[in-house]
Amino acid sequence: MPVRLTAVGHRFGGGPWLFRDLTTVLEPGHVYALTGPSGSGKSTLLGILAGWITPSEGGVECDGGGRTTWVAQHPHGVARRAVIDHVELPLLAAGLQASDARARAGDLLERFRLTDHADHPFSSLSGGEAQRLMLARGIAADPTLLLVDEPTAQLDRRTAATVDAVIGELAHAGTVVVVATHDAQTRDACTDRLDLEGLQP
Amino acid sequence: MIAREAWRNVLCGTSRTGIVAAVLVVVAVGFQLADLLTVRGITDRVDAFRAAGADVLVYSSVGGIDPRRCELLAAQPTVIAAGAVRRDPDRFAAVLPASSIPTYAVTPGFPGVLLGTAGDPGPGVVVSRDLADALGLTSADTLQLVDATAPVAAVYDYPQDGRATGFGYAMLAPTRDLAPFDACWVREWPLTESTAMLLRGVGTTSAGTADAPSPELTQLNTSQGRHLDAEGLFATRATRWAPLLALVVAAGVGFASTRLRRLEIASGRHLGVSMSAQVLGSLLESAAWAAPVALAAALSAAAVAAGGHAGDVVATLGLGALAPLATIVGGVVGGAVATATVRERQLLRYLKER
Ligand SMILES: Nc1ncnc2c1ncn2[C@@H]1O[C@H](COP(=O)(O)OP(=O)(O)OP(=O)(O)O)[C@@H](O)[C@H]1O
Ligand SMILES: [Mg+2]
Repeated sequence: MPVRLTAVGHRFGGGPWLFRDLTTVLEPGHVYALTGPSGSGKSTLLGILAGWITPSEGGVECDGGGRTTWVAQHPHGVARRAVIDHVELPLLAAGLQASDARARAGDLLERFRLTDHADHPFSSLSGGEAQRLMLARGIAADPTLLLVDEPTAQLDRRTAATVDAVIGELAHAGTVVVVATHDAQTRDACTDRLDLEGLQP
Repeated sequence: MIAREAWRNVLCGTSRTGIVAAVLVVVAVGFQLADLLTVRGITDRVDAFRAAGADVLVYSSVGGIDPRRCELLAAQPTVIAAGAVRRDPDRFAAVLPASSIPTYAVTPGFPGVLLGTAGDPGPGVVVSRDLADALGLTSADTLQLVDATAPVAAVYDYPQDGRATGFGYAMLAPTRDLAPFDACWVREWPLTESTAMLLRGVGTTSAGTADAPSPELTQLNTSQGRHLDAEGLFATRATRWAPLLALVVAAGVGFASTRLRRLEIASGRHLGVSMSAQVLGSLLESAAWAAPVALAAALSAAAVAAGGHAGDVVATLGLGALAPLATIVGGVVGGAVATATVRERQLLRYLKER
């Protein structure tokens, strides 16, 4: 289901406009890099897409509703549970049989290059591995909208590259993916761009 | 699926089963023992009170007691034994003819007052422990007097613990003659005002001649205090609130230990796990600490019960179950409430709080 933004603008209280007049259609199967300088309102726009923030003007339509999944800047998981358990959880919650969930989780771990860590506890993962796990888990939840906030901001360039390398795996039928970033390489790993630069009045 | 998730959380330590179990064992057993030992303190006071004969009332009226009315008091539900007593001439034992034995004629119910049991001890005389020791007698022996022999039906203890004197070295000779007696003794538990009133009415109508001392009602032993309101002590003991406190403390522990996992819970909710599945999971995970709590509490209650009266075992175990049950209910409910009150919308805030 595409997400339509029509003349969306936002400012906090009586403050300056962060952006105005944002009109676009976000299509499933694409991975949008949401870029712009720090403070330009990237996280705010993700919040608006998630429905947690009501825009000051304009509207966001997501035909058919569905789940929105948020992947936070800081990876988080259950320290002692196995890596694969994290990916299985949304699959089991969706009603998959245990064996199917495990098989599908195994596939996702392979796509996000975590197969070797499948049975390790979450706490043993490096920052880049944990961030890749968050992306794999986000996809496992099969959302209509997957919002990823600064997946590489906390990582050094080498580690960030391992995350950039799997960004393409986020392209998922039926899911609109938006990745907020100010990292050029992360941006280039995405299929499309959505730039807030120049939307400030 | 929920059960498997719960089981994995327990196994890998995510549920903090060990620490929660340790804390709640302390809560459950602590509050349980506080109450059981308080109650044990009350029963010990009752035991001491009764062992000293402080539960025996003596109505004295020299030559003015109707033995039939006195014995009838034994029909009162709270009365254990009742009987009348009158001083007889001293007797002399064949082995110690030079030393006199203070002797009392008593109604058949009287020995029961000193023995602490209802009913007639059987044919023969009843002697005090000191007399039995002096003559080398036991309750199966025959007492040889200079002028007669009598089987020893029973031996009663009469320590010098503050009780009225005169019976420590003495012999009781049961009689069925209905001539007036000097005193009516009643052993009763618990002591009631109604029995004391009835006791004041066991005088003969002809009693009260001018030179006789006026009748008086006394306690056989006043060293333990006049009254012991065991039921009142039980009903007003501070530790009766122990189960309630255990409930509150355990609810706090259950809530706090689950609240520590709010990010995990909010994240699971965000990924599609329903609140009801998470609450059910929390209940299942609780079973892992509830089992050791129940076991520890059962063992400690059994240990306390083993040290008490055989007749109190069921009551002790019943009372001992309250605080542990409250602990388990509190911990389970606390955990479930903490799980249910986590909001998916707070996910970002929980992340920032980390
Ligand atoms: N709840 C809020 N109330 C008021 N002002 C806010 C609120 N949230 C964000 N802002 C402000 O809005 C502006 C945009 O914030 P936002 O986090 O969206 O920027 P960003 O593009 O994500 O920046 P960064 O690249 O640093 O993450 C900032 O100046 C910020 O201080
Ligand atoms: Mg931001």
